[in-house]
Amino acid sequence: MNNVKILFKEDINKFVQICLKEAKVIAPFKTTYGDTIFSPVTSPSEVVIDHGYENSIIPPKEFFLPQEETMLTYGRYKEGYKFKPSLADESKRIIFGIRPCDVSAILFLDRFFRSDIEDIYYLKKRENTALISFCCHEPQETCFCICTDSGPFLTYGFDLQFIDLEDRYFVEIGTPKGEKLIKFNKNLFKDVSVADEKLRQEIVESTKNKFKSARAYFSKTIRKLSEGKVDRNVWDELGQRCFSCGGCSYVCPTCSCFDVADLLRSRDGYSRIRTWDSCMFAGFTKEASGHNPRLEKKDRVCRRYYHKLSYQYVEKNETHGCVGCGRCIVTCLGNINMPVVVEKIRRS
Amino acid sequence: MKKIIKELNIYQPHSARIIKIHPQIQGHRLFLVKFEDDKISRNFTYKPGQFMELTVFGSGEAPFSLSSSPTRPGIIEFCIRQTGKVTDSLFRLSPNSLIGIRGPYGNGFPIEKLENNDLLIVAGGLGMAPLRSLLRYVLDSRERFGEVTLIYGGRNPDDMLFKYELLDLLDSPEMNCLLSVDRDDSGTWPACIGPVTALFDRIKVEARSTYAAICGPPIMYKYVLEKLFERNFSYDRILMSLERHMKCGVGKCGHCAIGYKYICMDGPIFTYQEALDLPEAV
Repeated sequence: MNNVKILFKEDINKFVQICLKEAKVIAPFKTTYGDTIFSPVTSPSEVVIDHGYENSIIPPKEFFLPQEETMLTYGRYKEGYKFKPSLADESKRIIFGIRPCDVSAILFLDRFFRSDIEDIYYLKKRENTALISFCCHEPQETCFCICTDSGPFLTYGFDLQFIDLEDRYFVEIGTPKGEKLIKFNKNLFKDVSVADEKLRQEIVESTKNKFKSARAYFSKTIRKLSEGKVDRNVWDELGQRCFSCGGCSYVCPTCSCFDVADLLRSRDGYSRIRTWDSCMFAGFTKEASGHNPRLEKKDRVCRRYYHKLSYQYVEKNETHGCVGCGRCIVTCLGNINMPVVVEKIRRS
Repeated sequence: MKKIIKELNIYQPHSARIIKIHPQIQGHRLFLVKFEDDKISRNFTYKPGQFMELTVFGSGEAPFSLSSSPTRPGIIEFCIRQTGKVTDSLFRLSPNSLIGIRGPYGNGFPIEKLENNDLLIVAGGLGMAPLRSLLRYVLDSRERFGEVTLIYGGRNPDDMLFKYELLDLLDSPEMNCLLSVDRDDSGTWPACIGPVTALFDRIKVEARSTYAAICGPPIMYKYVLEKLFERNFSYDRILMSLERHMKCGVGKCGHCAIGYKYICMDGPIFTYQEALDLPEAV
């Protein structure tokens, strides 16, 4: 059991203020357009913390694997060329109000970027960032984290986890990093009573019944995909509906494929950048010889779901690659999304 | 979160100099390259079948398989086809130009397993590039291997990579070198004329004590595999060098994924048995 505390809602702004003093704070922010996005904030009033805020369109992976990131710069010097790594600034950051599904996705990416050969561009940013998770008890129509075991309440992975108990928050401390944020502000955080524990339990239980239309029953689908027993018609059908826009990969919090390019950015210097890429693009697998092993859209859709769900990848990544955030449901024009694909495969 | 102990940036290339450029066949050149830093150069080693990432300044980075052998340290060689943006720029460079280089990457051929076995090397087209590394390695440490046979075919004599070097091996007592072209208009080709698969009828191999190493265009695999199965080669004695579009070289960018493996980390060398288990391999 994690260490727990109570924070009254009237004190939440004080706590945000404390976070702002400690680090750069990234929090849900309402744009003038009405979208909720994660953005650096400078005052508590900018933070949207009521539990009604919807999942941001762009997942918080952008703060660890930005859509465009400079890896190196190089320019001509007298003695030739010199590479200069362009590593992220080391300042501390707090992502405040991140959803449990997105925390689960970041844990997934942590494992991936740490495995085999370490990617310091990702890991440096990750190491300097604390995650303060806010649990959802009003899931959106598209949410299905309950089917992917990645929310709406976590048992680990967060630095701090906030659960809304009407007039106060039930705060769980997950790591020493989270502990530190609380330690210096003891007067704000109160001890937990038996009634608080009970209410928390009630909310956790009642939230489970609030999940609406989106549902995904993975186990049979995983088995069929892993054993190559999916009817070809399923992929044909999905391939016909795919626009190859790459939207699914961009908004997916566990997608991490990138492209690399060298761009002329100043008079005498080039930048090597990496940008998000998508396995849904035809050029993603085109070889130097011109041969393309995944020329057809159906093959690419198949590939994407094989990567997300096959047992072979589950074994490698310790879990399947979906956290039930529902962003692909909102984004895909062709209605190719996790619950739909899982259901199609299950019934094929 | 585990503390990052290694501050090593895997994406950072070293500086290297092109020492020499040997013209090969049309659109192909052999680049001889040396690290600028002597210490790196001295400590650098690799396995046949591995590849490296070369940076051409201003154009970008691309992976190329090593054609030289670690038995001849110092200068490393890449046989490269001019085929895209990076190679276009590379072909504009002259000797003494600087490039960026990082690696080696990939698993390479399982040399320890191959030792004391016979070896059948089958190459097609640019597939000769990584296999030349293996061939050199084996010839340089000849006593550690059994019978060595090379089968390499092209459309015509002007299509054969490392032509003169390989022709020199025709009469070599060290190995059995079989070269074939489909046609020879010049009438000067000293080796076989005919389809490359016909060369299989001229070799004697004992499938149980032989490893076959294959690299070539996708179409070639089908015919070569058929020939090997005719001779009862077991699936784990067939080694194939697979090709995929690749960016980072270190298992992160996702481009070279094939099934649940990454060519750059788990490959590019796979046994036929391993390739069979990959849903998208051949």
